[in-house]
Amino acid sequence: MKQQPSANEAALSIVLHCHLPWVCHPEHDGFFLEEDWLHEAVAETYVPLLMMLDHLAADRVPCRLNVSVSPTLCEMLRSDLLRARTLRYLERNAALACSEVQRHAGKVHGTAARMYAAHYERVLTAYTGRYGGDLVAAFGAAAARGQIVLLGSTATHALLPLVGSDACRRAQVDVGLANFAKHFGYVPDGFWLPECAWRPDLDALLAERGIHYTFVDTHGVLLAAPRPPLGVFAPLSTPAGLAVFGRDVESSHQVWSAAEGYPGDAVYREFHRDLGYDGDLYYLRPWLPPDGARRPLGIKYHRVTDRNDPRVPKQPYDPARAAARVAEHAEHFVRSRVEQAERIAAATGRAPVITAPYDAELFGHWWWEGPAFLDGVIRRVAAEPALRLASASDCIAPRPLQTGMPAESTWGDGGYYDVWVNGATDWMYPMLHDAERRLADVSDGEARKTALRQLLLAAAGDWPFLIRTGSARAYAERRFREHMAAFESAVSGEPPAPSPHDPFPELDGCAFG
Amino acid sequence: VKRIVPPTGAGKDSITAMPRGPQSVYIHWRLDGLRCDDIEGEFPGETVQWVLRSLDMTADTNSTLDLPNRVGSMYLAVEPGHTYGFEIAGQVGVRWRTVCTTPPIEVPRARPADARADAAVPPELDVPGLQFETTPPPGGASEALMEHDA
Repeated sequence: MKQQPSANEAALSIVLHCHLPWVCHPEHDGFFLEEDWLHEAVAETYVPLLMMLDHLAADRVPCRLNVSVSPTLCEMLRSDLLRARTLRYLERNAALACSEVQRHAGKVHGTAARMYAAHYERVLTAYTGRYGGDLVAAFGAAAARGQIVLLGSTATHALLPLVGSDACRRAQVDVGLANFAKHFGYVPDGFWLPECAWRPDLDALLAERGIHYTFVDTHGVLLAAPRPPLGVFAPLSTPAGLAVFGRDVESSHQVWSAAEGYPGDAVYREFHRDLGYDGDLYYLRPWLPPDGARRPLGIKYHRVTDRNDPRVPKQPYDPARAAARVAEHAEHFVRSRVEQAERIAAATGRAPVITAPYDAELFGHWWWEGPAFLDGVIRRVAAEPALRLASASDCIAPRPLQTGMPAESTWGDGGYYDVWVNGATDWMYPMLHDAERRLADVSDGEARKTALRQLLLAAAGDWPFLIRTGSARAYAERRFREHMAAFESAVSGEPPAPSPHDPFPELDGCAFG
Repeated sequence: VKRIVPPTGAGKDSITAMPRGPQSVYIHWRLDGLRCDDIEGEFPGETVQWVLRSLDMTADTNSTLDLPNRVGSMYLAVEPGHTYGFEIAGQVGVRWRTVCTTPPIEVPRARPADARADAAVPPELDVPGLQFETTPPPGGASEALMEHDA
């Protein structure tokens, strides 16, 4: 199904970055809020995306996406413990959705209740049947069909420029690539840099590992040295020979923008109004933790209504209206790309590569209609002669590359490191960097392996992000401190007892140094 | 007298500098190593002031700050696009001894003030055909549900 666009064809290169931090808590047998992040993403994003790919293949619609599945996510998706818990989550939600159909029969939320029942039934059937509970294999199968091209990433979603030592930066990359090879059976050509965090010295590091291409934010390319004449609309070849793709502003803006982005449309489902918080506590008791604490249940009955005025009462969600709007938005997105490509080609004389990277969890989890939007975009591009859906790897060979070194950059707010290095999080870095230095002195194989695993987990960029945004501050801080404490135990000769649930069992102390 | 360095890695003087953006660098340091003791031993009876020297290699200037503690951190204002080196030294009068240094740090260049969230192509780049144009989506403009990222 692979279709390489020629140098005269405009290419739309969509990147979906699937990632969650390591949130496996075997010590909790029942509900655990942060572990639910995984189950929710499986139910709302990963399975729907895989089902979308299956339907496209069945309909013989050409599809070519870049997809990264982070190592921590791969480890969780393949954990027996978490797979059992994901199944339990899906079964419970399917049962809740059925109960909701009866409760809302003939009432205002009846249509939405039936939508959820059908959704969880489909997801549960696909998860246990077609995918056999192994979504990593399902992503691998989609890659084998040529629908997606899988990208490697760092072991624990660490921002490489914030890692203190070369040895630990190498370890993040090497463990990430080894993990990819373990799960998918080969070494990837492309690499997703967490948060698009790029610094020029990564050029040699990635190229030495056999990586051929990666992605940076817009200004990383626009401020490259020398400044590239085609901007982000052609890959930039670095001194070490890496091809770097810069994020396109327009396509990003239309999906992410707080002012104009599609997900905030008034008819789309409102994320924050969840049955777990809205519903009758006595009715919900079977689906809530034993202590009765309210938690999101994934069933939401309201639409955005008016994001500009929170005083406006949220109106009931109408799936049919949302479906009609998502078709319009997919059409609008593709038409905008075609017009954009024509404009750029007219000005530069070259057909552009339009690189559009997104967090995968936007589609389905945050933006409920997101998978339908993607499906609509892919089907419309297939029918559009002026535009071709392409992976980044498809766009390297046929196009003359610009040359230059991308500038240091991230896709975080402000374009650099403010999100991760600030008054709320800066205390983490002296601890991390000190631990990196101390790890170099640990010679014992098992202690070194344990210490490295804990250091990698502590270095996840998710912890400072969650602390900064305040969305799970206490949890993120606790997780960081727990990994640092386990590191201390390991280097002081009293490593924590190994657990069968530890991630990266293949991790070898030789990866560090 | 040579002392045994504990295997934990303690006893390593260190300074690390991380650019936070075009305007500031985050620096943290830890002075608990043998080098500090050696320097103090070199100046018996005198008080060693531990200082941070900031070397702007682009402008060829430098500045010195007294360090309040042997372990600490600070944000330091820097010039966008300049290359810096940072050094911790022990200073006694006009004499000083280097304890540890960072490799050269390149501070990111400033980017357009409207930043990434609404990143248009900077006009000064004069790249043809890259102007940001878009038509409002069906349904009109409204706010997205979430902030960008992660």
